[in-house]
Amino acid sequence: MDVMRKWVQVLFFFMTNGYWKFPYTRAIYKGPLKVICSPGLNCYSCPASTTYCPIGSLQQLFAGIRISIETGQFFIGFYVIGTMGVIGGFVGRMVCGWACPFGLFQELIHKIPSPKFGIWPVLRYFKYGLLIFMVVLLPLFAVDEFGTGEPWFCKYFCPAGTLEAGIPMIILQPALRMNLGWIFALKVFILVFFIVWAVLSSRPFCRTACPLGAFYALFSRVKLVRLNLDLNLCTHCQACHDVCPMGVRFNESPDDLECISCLACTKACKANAINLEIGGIPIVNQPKRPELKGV
Amino acid sequence: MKSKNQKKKPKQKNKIIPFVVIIIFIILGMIGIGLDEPSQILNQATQICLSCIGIG
Amino acid sequence: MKKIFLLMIISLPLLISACGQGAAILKVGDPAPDFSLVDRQGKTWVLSELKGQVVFINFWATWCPPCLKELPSMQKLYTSLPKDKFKMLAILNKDKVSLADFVTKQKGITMPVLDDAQNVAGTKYFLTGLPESFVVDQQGILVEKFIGPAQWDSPRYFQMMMKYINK
Repeated sequence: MDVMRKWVQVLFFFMTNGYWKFPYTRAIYKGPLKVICSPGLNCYSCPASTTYCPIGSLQQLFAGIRISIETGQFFIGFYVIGTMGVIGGFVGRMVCGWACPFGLFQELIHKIPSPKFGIWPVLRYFKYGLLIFMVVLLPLFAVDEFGTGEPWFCKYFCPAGTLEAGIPMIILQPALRMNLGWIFALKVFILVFFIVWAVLSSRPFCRTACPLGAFYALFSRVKLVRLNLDLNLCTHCQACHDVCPMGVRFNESPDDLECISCLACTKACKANAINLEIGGIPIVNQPKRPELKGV
Repeated sequence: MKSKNQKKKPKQKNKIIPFVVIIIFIILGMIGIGLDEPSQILNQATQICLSCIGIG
Repeated sequence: MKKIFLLMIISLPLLISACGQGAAILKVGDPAPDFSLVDRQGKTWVLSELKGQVVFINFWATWCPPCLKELPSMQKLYTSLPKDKFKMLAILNKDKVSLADFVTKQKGITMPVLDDAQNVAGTKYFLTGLPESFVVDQQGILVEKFIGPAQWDSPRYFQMMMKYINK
């Protein structure tokens, strides 16, 4: 299952980053596919990107919301929120585990050998703060005298943007190096911080800072595709605790906001108590294992 | 008999709620399309605002 | 399996930097690509017809905060230079003209705003991002290229434009 997930991740990586002419054009993809929403956090200023980033788009629309309303064009962001909500309603944070290029990136660098650490659970709430303040409130309300806001999360924080757009664009366009200031230094620092952290801990950005993950997490109880815990089969052996890349104790909180449906626990569960369900119908039944070691 | 009923109820709820949520967001997305938001998103997505990603 | 993934990730930046040689790009010293665009008053501007004058070309959009921020300083530079020898063209790149009209009215912008909804001029000038500005000299040669915003009403840019005007 994990191999299949890796291939799905790679497939989504190339679907959302499918424009490979950029070393020649030295510019981003400018075609019509960009009207499609990227399910994962994938910067749309990335030269290879073929889709738009919902978090980036939302901030841009919020930042210009006054101009658009005053000219009678109501670009409020319904299309973006609608698309995000449909994705959330279907699969929720399964996107993080299966379709997000930045999640894949963190998983891969976590394979670098090093001492591994957990993440203090309280830090998970930081991402909701980022979603509320840097994606919604600051772009909406921190405006200049003409009523124009800024995309705060993209500009001051997003490490995915620095990795996928900032650094590649500087390589492609050396003239840009003159323009670099403290904001870029801050963003590179944040990126390096999360890269180092991702080597030491599993998926630190997803767990503590991703506003898109925070949004999808709100669907944990109402999404169509989800992991179900069969309490009749669960032996509370806690085998699901250690394997979870997101630090979820699945048998204690099966509807956890952090669950990314990566199915690591379904494989680890020797009692086959965890199954993937679509609308209440189980679809992945692990083969029964006769040996019940360590239960 | 009683326990069977109790078990059935939340399961049925689970089956309906996701579709309700999805339909609500589809309607929201449709409103956005009606307001011509996709064209604006396409405009924004096909050009970089360099300062917006921290360069310059 | 693991090794393949790691190799892919490592090779990505190499690919970007290695293939970037000899790419399509507009450099200072090249002839400025010609364009014909209509401004908000209905006047058609053809770059090649402006030979003998210095032309400042700025690409912008209303959703780009730094573009909006530099517009007033561009306006000041525009008003402080002789109109018969210097032209400033603000090209609206793939945006809605109604939004642009609102912004220019709000900020008191009087320079011509050219509508390039189809990104025709933007493509010819190989835009990296917004804002991006170019200076074209009297012979129609591209003499300056600026990626990103600037404080256009500072003495530095005023002197730069005067230098090209008096050449």
